[in-house]
Amino acid sequence: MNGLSASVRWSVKAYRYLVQAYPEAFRRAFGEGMVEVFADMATDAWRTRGFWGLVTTWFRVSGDLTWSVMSERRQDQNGGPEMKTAFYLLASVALATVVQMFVMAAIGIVIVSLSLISAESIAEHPSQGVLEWLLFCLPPFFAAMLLMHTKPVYRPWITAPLGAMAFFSFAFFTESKAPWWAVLGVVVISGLLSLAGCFAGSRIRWRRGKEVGDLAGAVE
Amino acid sequence: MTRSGSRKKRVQPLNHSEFHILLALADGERHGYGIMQEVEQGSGGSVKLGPGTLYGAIKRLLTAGLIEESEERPEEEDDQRRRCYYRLTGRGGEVVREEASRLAALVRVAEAKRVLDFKPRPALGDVP
Repeated sequence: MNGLSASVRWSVKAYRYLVQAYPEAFRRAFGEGMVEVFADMATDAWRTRGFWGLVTTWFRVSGDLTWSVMSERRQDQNGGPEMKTAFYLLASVALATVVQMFVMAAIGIVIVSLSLISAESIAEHPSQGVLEWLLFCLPPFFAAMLLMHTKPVYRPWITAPLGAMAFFSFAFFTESKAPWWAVLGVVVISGLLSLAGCFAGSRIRWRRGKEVGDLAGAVE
Repeated sequence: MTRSGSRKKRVQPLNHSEFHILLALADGERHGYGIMQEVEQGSGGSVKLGPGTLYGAIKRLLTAGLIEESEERPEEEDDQRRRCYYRLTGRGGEVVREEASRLAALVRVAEAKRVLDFKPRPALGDVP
């Protein structure tokens, strides 16, 4: 019973945190209700299927969370200024790091990847299969969890593979005939933001090293 | 646009999840998780709403005046949590009936055209 309550309790805490990604008005009106529903889902899943039930609940909820946050944010005209930490993580990780991996990888991988995410493949993939769900659900959740427990200087490097997955999930997420230039635009913007993140991380690390060196010199 | 015209326009375009939620509330008030379970059961498991989708749809239905929050709690509710219950408004009842009638009419057309037991004809040149 303790195991049940601990697992469910931690899941509910994590979900409560992620609910902050919604616009404030929506969160105030329905946030508690959503957490209640999630708590019921998690409890039922744990009781009926154990740990795997809880994991599949998270898969289902993560996809729903990503989709509905974007939908509510899109509807909320004044959502920008109130963007909270969780949504910042979700949005930036999901869209800002994919090209970082492409830069580190070979050009061949870029060509293969772009061919995989062509407009036809986006249109033909409903997010129903296991692979699609994995691609769709894992990045926001694990990125948020990882980044909360990672030093800022290492965040850009950790987000690279997650960002790549997130981009694919974004492609599946659209489930519409996204034009090739829109996909390419997202890739380019993501790459620029990602490189900016890498540069910022390196800069912080260089500054810290310099400060430590100065301090050591002063001590000597 | 006239008032009646805009009202009709707002009511008509029910999306998939909204219609399922209205159907779930057709036979009584329910809380969020109850709606979710009813939708899943009613659709034979083909429609699974997450909390975000569910409450996004509830927000739109509340705004359109098709459902409302209920202060009463059913007697069988035994836990101590203050859950919010929802129920259909009169207008919501009309809308779900109209939508169901429209779908039933479509099904009748499909039955008349024998679409439900449709088998593709063999193309010319195909060996039967």
